[in-house]
Formats: sequence, structure tokens, C-alpha cells
Amino acid sequence: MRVLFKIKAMTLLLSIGLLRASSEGSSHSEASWLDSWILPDPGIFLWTIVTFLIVLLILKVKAWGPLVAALENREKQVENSLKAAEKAIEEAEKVSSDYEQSIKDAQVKSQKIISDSKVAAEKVKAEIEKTAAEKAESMLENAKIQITTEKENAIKDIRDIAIDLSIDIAAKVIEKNIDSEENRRLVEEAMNNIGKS
Amino acid sequence: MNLHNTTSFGDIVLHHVTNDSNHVYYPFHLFGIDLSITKHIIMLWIVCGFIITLSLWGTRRYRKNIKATPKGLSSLFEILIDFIKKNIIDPNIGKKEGKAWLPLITTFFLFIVSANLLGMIPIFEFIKGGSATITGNFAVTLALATITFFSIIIAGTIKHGFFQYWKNMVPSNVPKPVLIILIPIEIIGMVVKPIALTLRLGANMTAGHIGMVAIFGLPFLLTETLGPGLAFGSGFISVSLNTAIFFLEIIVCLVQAYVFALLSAVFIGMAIHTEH
Repeated sequence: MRVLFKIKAMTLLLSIGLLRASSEGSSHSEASWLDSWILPDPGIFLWTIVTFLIVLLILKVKAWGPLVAALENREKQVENSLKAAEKAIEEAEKVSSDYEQSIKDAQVKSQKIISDSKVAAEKVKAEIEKTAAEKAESMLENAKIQITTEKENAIKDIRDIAIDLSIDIAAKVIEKNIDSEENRRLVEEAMNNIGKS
Repeated sequence: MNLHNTTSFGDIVLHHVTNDSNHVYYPFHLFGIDLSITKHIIMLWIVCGFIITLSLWGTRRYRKNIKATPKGLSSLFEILIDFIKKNIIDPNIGKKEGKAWLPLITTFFLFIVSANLLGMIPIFEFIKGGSATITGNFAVTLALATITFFSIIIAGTIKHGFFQYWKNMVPSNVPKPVLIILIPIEIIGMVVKPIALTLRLGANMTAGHIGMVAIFGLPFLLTETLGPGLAFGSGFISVSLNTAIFFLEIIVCLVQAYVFALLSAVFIGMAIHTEH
């Protein structure tokens, strides 16, 4: 920039020199031009101040005011949105952690339910097995008793039949009908002996 | 340009860089002050009309809806406001106090840059009565600097109160004899600030135009001394040289507007932050 000003200053000096050199003989008019350039004209001065202040007022109210307000409003909005976004992220994080926690809880719960039911099932199974075994045992016992009873009855029946048959046979053989009571006693005696021997 | 009559070349050059106060469109006097409408007043109104139209058009979306998003010209205005706020206002005046001064500095920048650039457009030469660049007129730049001058005082007064502001001008613990020197220096410093603003902007804008007109005048001057043939050749040089200077001038237009706005902000900031 300094070079620029040097060039400008040199141009200005050169030009003024040129003006002076070329305006010999018309110094009067030159002086009036130079005066009008260097000495500020009060009319223009006042006009400028008045006009500039009016322009400033118009622009301040109509242009810069709304523009600055809009910019500030936007700045605030951006700030608020950033804050809201941060808050939303925080909330989302909280929600997701809550969700994870609830999933974990559910998993633990289901695990417990499964293990509880397993235990219960085992218990039921054992009970059923026990009952079944008991039942089978008792049935076996009954069957044994029944069989023994039946066996005894059968043996008794067979003995009776055998006695009757023996008597009949003996009667036929000796063809003498003796006292049946006596016979019967004799046969039974014989039978008992048979059973013993 | 006819150099053979009584009008000198200097007159011609100055005619192209100054306001012709003799060419009055509408004579108007108030309390003994000549407020006649001359070309620079018309140019002043053109510039003001231009920036008002542009700004109102560019910010119309925000007047309708505070939540509007930038589009087209309004994004340009958002960039302008953002640039001035972040690069000029906030570092020099401060975020809190700067809010009140943002409209002034923005209007300064827009006004000066528009006046500078509109002055570069040759079409305004068709309006008779001198130069088209109002920022090359010291009356205009002095008026702008005067607004800065009073803004500095107002800023300091609002912040520190009327008496405290003037007391802040001088350091508190200096021996009395030093004050005799210090007070005039401070007063001079106060006045020099706006004068520097006035001269910097006015001289920069005028110098460029004087240079360009002088270079354009070279072939006409050389016709007398070297003859029309060589003068014609020098015409090529002056046109190409001026094309280059024109681009330089566009940069200068932007830089000077920025410098004026920046320095105004710096001075206002100095009045507010006296501890520095």
C-alpha cells in the first residue's frame, strides 16, 4: 500500500506542476479553480451532512436494523438448535441404555423362569416315578398273595377230589360199602402219609 | 479540448476533478449560505438514491420475515454486515458498544465506496458542471469527517459521561506544568483526526483523477511541441496507461472506503476504551 501512496503522491505533485507550467498567463482562473478544489464549499458541506444523516436514518431503520436483527435471530436459532440436538443425543443415549437394561432384566427373568420350571418338572417327574413304583410294588404284592391263595385253594380242591376218587375207587375195588366216615378217615390218614413221605 | 483559447490546460484538468460552482442548476440561498444545486449535489443525491435503493432492495426479505435466509443480493449484504461487524466493529469498538455504531460505519463504507465507484463511471460526465466523484470534493469528505468527529465525542460522552470524557483526554497523574503543553496537543490531536480523514479520502480520489486526466491530456499537449504524428503515438501510450491506472483506481476506491470506515471505528473505539 505504501508504494501505492507514493505513486499517487508523485502523480499529484507532477500534475500540479503540470498545471502551473501550463497555465501561465491565466493565473486568475487557475487560482479560482484551485481555491474551489482546496477550500471546502459550505453549501456542499451542509448538503452532504444533511443528506448523509437522512440516508443513515433511513438505512438504519429500514435496512440495517432488520438485517442485523435477522442475523442475530439466526445466530440464536443456531445456538438453540445445537443445544437441543445435544440434549436429544443425551436423551437418546439414556433411552438406549434403559432399553438395554430392560433387555438384560428380561433375559435374567426368563432364565430364572426356565430354571424354575426345570426344577418343578424334575420334582413332578420324581413324584410320578415314585408313585408308579409304589403302585407296581403293591400290584405285585397283591398278585403274589392272590396266586398263593389260589394255589392253596387249588391244592385243597385237588385233595378233595382225590379223596372222593380214592374212596370211589376203593369202594368199587372192595365192593363193600363200609362206613363212609370210617373210610374217609382212613383215606385221609393215608393221604397225609403220602404227603409226608 | 481546445488549448488555443484562453482556457489553460490546468483549468481543464481541474474542471474534470472538481465541482463547477458556477454551473448552477437551481440557485438556492439560506441564511446567507449558498446552497445552490450544483453537479456535486446532484451526484450526492444519485449516490444516496443508489445506496438506499440497493440496501432496501437487498434487505427487503428481512423486513418481511425475520427468519429469512439469504438469497441473491441479500447474501451480499449479509457478507458486508458480517465483514464490517467482525473486522471493523468488534476488534475496535467492542461487541457490546459496537452494536450502536454498526449502522453508521456500514453506511460510511457503503456511501464512500458507492461514491468512489460511481465517480469512476464516465457516463456521469454527461451531467454538466465538473467532476462526478463527490468524494474528491473536500467539502464532502469534511462533512463525513465532521460526522465522525461528533460521533467520537458522542460515543465517549455516552460511555463516560460528559465531564469524565473530557477529563479522560489528559492522563490523571501528570504535573501541572506538563498540562500546559499536553492540553493543546490533545486538542490538536482531536481536530487532526477528522482533518486527516478529510484529506486522505479527498486527496486520494482527486489524485487518481488528476493523474488520469493529465495522462489523457498528454497527446493534446504534445501536438503543439512534437507535431500531430508523435502525439498520435503517445495517445496509445496514454490510453493503455490509463487502463492500468483505472484498475488501480478501483482498488483505491475500495481501500479508501475501508480505511475511512476502519479509522472512524478506531477513533470511536478510542473514545470508548480510554484505558488503552
